[in-house]
Amino acid sequence: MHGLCVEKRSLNGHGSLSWDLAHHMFVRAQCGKIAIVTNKPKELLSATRRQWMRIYRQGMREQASTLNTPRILELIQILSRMQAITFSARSLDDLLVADVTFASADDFVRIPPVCPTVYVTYGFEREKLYMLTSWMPKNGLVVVYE
Amino acid sequence: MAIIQLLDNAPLPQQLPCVICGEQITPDEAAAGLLDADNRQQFACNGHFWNSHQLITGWADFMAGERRRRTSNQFAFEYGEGIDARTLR
Repeated sequence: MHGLCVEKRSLNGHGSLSWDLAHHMFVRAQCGKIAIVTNKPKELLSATRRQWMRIYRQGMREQASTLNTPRILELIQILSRMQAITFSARSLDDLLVADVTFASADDFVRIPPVCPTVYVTYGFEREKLYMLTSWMPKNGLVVVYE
Repeated sequence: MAIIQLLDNAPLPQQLPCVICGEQITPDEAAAGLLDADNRQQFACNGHFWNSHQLITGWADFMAGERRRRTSNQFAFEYGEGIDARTLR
């Protein structure tokens, strides 16, 4: 994984996986598309989208409660981007179409994600991790949940 | 919870600056965030990722600052050092 930044995360009692994912994704979604490697794509998608909408509503409250103009302008952009983001857990045919794609490691090995952020939520062979991150651009981030 | 590898596989620094609170933190306490105006990876304390208020306002302020910096870099590149939108008016 040369040229990539790697971060290890554990939940340590701070909410669920979907909660932590949505919070981390809030920041990384500004960089581009996201791939989430999971053995339960559909379940994790619905839980993460629910958390995503909670952060969106919190963002609306923050925007309404601040008088800081640059922050308001930035929040308007962030929130409109958050609203437009598309999620998908359908089996991959070709390149990633949605902004956030949930799939298994085998799917991503078959069609490696070309995106700046990959979240790995379950354990699998190290060779697969190298293969599925092989098309990530330099400056990319791999977040591995333990 | 830790940064275990940086982009160029260079040894991890002892301390990284948190872009939200400005504190120096160890890689164990850091989480990766956005790239700055110079395309360098920036980090924040893990604690800020667990607090929705700090997460939203902290990163919005960071992005606003980087947007300003990117614009002023662009002006400096196009018109020379010390020029901004006000002096061009």
